[in-house]
Amino acid sequence: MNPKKFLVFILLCVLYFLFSVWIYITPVKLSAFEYDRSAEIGEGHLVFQKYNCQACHQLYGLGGYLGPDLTNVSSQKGKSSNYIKAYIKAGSAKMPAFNMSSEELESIVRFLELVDKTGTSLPDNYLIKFDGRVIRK
Amino acid sequence: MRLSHFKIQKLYWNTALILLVIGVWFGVLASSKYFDLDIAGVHLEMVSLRPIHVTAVTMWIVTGAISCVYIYLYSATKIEFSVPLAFFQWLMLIFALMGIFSSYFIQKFGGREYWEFPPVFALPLLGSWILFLFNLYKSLFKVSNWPVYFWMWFAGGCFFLLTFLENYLWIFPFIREQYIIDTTIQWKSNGSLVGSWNQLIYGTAFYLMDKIKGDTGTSTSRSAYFFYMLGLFNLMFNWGHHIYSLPTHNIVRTVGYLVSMTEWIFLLKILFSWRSTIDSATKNFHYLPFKFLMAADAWLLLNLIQALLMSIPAFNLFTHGTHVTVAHAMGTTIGINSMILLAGCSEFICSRICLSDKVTTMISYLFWTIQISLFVFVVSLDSAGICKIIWQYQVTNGSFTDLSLKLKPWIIIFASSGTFLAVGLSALALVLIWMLNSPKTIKRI
Repeated sequence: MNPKKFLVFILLCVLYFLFSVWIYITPVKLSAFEYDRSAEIGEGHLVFQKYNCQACHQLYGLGGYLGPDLTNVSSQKGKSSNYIKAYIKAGSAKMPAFNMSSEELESIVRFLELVDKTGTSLPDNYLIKFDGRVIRK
Repeated sequence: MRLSHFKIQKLYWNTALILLVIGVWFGVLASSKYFDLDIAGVHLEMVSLRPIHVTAVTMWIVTGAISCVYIYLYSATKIEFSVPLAFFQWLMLIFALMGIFSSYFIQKFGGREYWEFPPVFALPLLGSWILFLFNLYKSLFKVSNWPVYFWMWFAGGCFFLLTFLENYLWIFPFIREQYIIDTTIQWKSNGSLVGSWNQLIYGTAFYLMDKIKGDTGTSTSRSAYFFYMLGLFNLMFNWGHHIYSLPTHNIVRTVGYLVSMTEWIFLLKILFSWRSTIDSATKNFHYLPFKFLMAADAWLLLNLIQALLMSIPAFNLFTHGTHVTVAHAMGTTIGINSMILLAGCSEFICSRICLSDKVTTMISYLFWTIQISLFVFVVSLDSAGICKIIWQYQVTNGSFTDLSLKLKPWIIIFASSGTFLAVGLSALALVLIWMLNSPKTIKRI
């Protein structure tokens, strides 16, 4: 093993490690988000994973393609929490009916409400800069 | 039965190729869900079909990469790896896969995207990888002068372990309860994990290029080391394009954007060396592996152009979350990764048996079936993505059902070409399995 090449490898690893730790510990400040409810988002995310909602749905454009993106479903016109619960329980032509407990239904609805408050992923909400960067409006 | 190095190598290749066959056919079943079809009485929902497809193809790539490393590490170093350890690693992998697939069939989930199985099955996968690293590093550290592919295997093995562990940080409430940081970490680790297996696979490509050319010039050149370091740099920092739309730290976006632009260097290198690569085709006798490597080269060029455009935030804003992303994922995993792995497998076989003209012609037909259907497959996905982008701008408050109807023609082409692709890939995998297990292959070693 060449020592010079190994040194470059170690230097890159140190940079990677520092950048990773910075990401883990630096909180993200969001104006509309309710920080005292962060435990609820953790619980709701576990329910989202338990029923593998990500197989068909996206959050911030990440996930499956069979169903719609759910990032801002809670604030959409006519999509109340009761509507969401009923939809999950009844299913549709493409979505199976999920037999969730009432606690799980509550949890997933709260999760979607809190995700909605973190922001929006629609392109209309961004300004495009001349250098190719995008800035949130 | 006493296990030899050859039997272990064969065992890994058989496992990888079977996973490829499972993966592509579950992909076909999953695509049928876009048309509300239950093919051949399969009543599995998308929640099960998608993870089965994704896990099988991901594990085809990972197991294929391990197979290549076990074969070419041994032939490059002449240092014997531990056969019992490699066998125990395989047992742990099979145990994990059985648990994972069973949990998908009975709809017991609990993990994140691409790793949707209950986290307990990550433990045998982790154990299996640690055994692999032990075997790999034991041989590598006995060699003093490393060609570039040793560096790539070294770094790929190490970073796969780190990013796999990072991928499970969500099990700690401190991380899980900070949604934006949690999602940032999830896509940071997923992005780097892909970079890690790419290091293992591209390392194999370097070894094969040396073997085909008959000298070590390619893998010991200064440019080879430069591109390895650049690849490693991208593995570590080029994952931001997955989450440009996430309201995370601005620096994450900026670093992702700047680092991804270094990929232009890869593109220029490929364009300049393209001609000389073509010329060398006439000089070689490794017909099949060379054919697959050339295909990987062509797909690399196409995918790199797409990746570069998708890494520009202004473009990414529109393509993110559309089928353009899927087109890119399919182009890289099938067009680049799978082609290099198939080159590795066919070199392993062709160095042991002489293929008859009939078999060579059949493989050639399958090869072109795969290339053409993959091209149509990728174009249909890109077209569906572009259609979605246009729809988003033309229609305000449109329903998802309207969008699905609009995309339907492209989805029909995607599903049909995907079926041809599955036929081509699985037939090729079965031919390779048949050749691997042919008595002639065993006789020649």
